[in-house]
This record gives sequence, C-alpha cells and structure tokens, in this order.
Amino acid sequence: MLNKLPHLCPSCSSPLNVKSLSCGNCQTEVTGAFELPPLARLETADRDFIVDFVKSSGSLKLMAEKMRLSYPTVRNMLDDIISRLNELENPSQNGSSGLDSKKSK
Amino acid sequence: MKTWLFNPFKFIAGTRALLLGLGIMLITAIICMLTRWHLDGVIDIHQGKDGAPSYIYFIEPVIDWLCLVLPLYIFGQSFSISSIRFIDVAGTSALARYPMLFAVLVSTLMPHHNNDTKDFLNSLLSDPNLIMKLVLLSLLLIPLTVWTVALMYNAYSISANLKGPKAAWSFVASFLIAEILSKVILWLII
Repeated sequence: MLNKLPHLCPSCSSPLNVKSLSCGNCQTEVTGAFELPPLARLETADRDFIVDFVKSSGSLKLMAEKMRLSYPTVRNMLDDIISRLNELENPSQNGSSGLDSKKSK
Repeated sequence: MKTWLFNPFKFIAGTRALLLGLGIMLITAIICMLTRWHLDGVIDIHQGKDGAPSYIYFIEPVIDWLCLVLPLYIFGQSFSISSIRFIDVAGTSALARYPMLFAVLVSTLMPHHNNDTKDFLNSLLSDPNLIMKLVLLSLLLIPLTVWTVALMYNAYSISANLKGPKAAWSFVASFLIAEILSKVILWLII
C-alpha cells in the first residue's frame, strides 16, 4: 500500500515542503527546499478525479458514464476541484469562488 | 436509498431526467383528467368543476413546470460559478415533480364536489367519514408537499451548482415567482 502524501503540517496546518529526495536505485540523496506543486497538494480523491478526467480526454460526459453519475454532478465535482486548486495557488483569496469565469465544456 | 428518494439528480439529469419527468407528468395528467383534479399551480392540487376541456389537464402541469424552470435558470445563470445547461435545469425540475403522481392518487380518496363550497359543506355535515378522509388526506399530502419541494430544491442545487444561502433564497424567490406566474397564466388560459 502506498503511503498517503501529507501536504499539511500536522502541528500548525501550514503547507509542507519537500526537504529531501532520494534515488531508489543508487540511494543518491538531494536535499533542498522544494515546494509541492498544487496538484500534489490536493486530496487523493481529487487527484484520482483529475487523472480519470485526463484519461477521458477531458470529456465530462464520458466521466459521468464511467462514474455512473449525472453530468451536472461530475461538472460540480470538477468545479469544486478548480476552486480548491485556485485557493492553493492564491491562499489569500480563500473563500472566494476561485473560478474567474464560467467555463464552457 | 435516501439519495434516490431526495436527490436522484446525482445520478439522473439532462435529457434522461426530462423524458422520465415528462412521462410521469403525462400519467399524472391522465389520472387528473379521469378524477377531475387540477394541478393549478407549482405544487397546487384542487378539485375542478365538471366540463373542463381535456387539454387543460395536460397544459396545467407543463405550465407549472415551465414557470419554475425559467426563474431557476435565470437565477442559476446569474449566480452560479459553473457553466449551467438549460436541459439540466429543465430535466431535473421535470423529474422533481414525480411525487405529484402520488399526491393525485392519494387525492382520489376524496369524493368529487364540483368545486362547490356549499355542496362540500353539506357533505361534511351529513357524512362524518368525510372529515376523517379530509384529515387523512391532509396528513398524506403534507409530507408529499415537503418531499416535492425538497426534490425541486435539490434539482436546482445540482443543476446550477449552488449551495448555501445563495441557493436557498434564489430558490424561494423562483418558487414565489413561479407560483404567481403559473396562477396568472392558467387564469388567462382558463
């Protein structure tokens, strides 16, 4: 089982950064201060949704069929993820919709 | 089960919901025509006078439904951050009316009174069972009304991607507009 990637500090809930990376083959270690990309900071379910969405060629209709959910339900899920991504990228705008304009899909 | 009862729109929307909703509306209208009950408002159900033309029974639910769909779609377009589709608002709103079928079936418990208050009061005085039937009918119609409104709200919330106070007040406003609009249009037609 893969461990869940923590992205928030369990003590103060601030975003966590990557301090070191290691090569699984030769054990080389790289240390530094690397920020996690916004996609990696999403919940596992949200990341899985994005992967499925890309694999479905960005078709919400196809996603709805695969997930056996209605089109607006899947569209709402995507819009919620977009809002969360925008909040991660612009934490100062927390609480706003995060969707600048209506999307056409 | 709870989701299917109160929020089937999570699984069904768009054209499928529209066809299903229109089919149930048609069956409801046929029962209304046979029992002379009128759906003369968004969630209204009343007894009508004899001799009303048959087409009225089929026009009424369509007007009720469209009068709600239009303000919901306009509010949805104005307040939603999502790109909402008319077919979703129309389809889910049509399907949300399915408890009206049960309301009409339950209402057949009451004998027909040709919309005459005097006749109805005389029947109440002469038949004590009628009061019991009236109480029973009210007890059955109240939860059916709550169920219908809950379905209509969830249909709007899903199809327009609105939640919280914004969804609640825009739904209430749409509902009031629809109730007035449907009454006026039906009054003009009939």
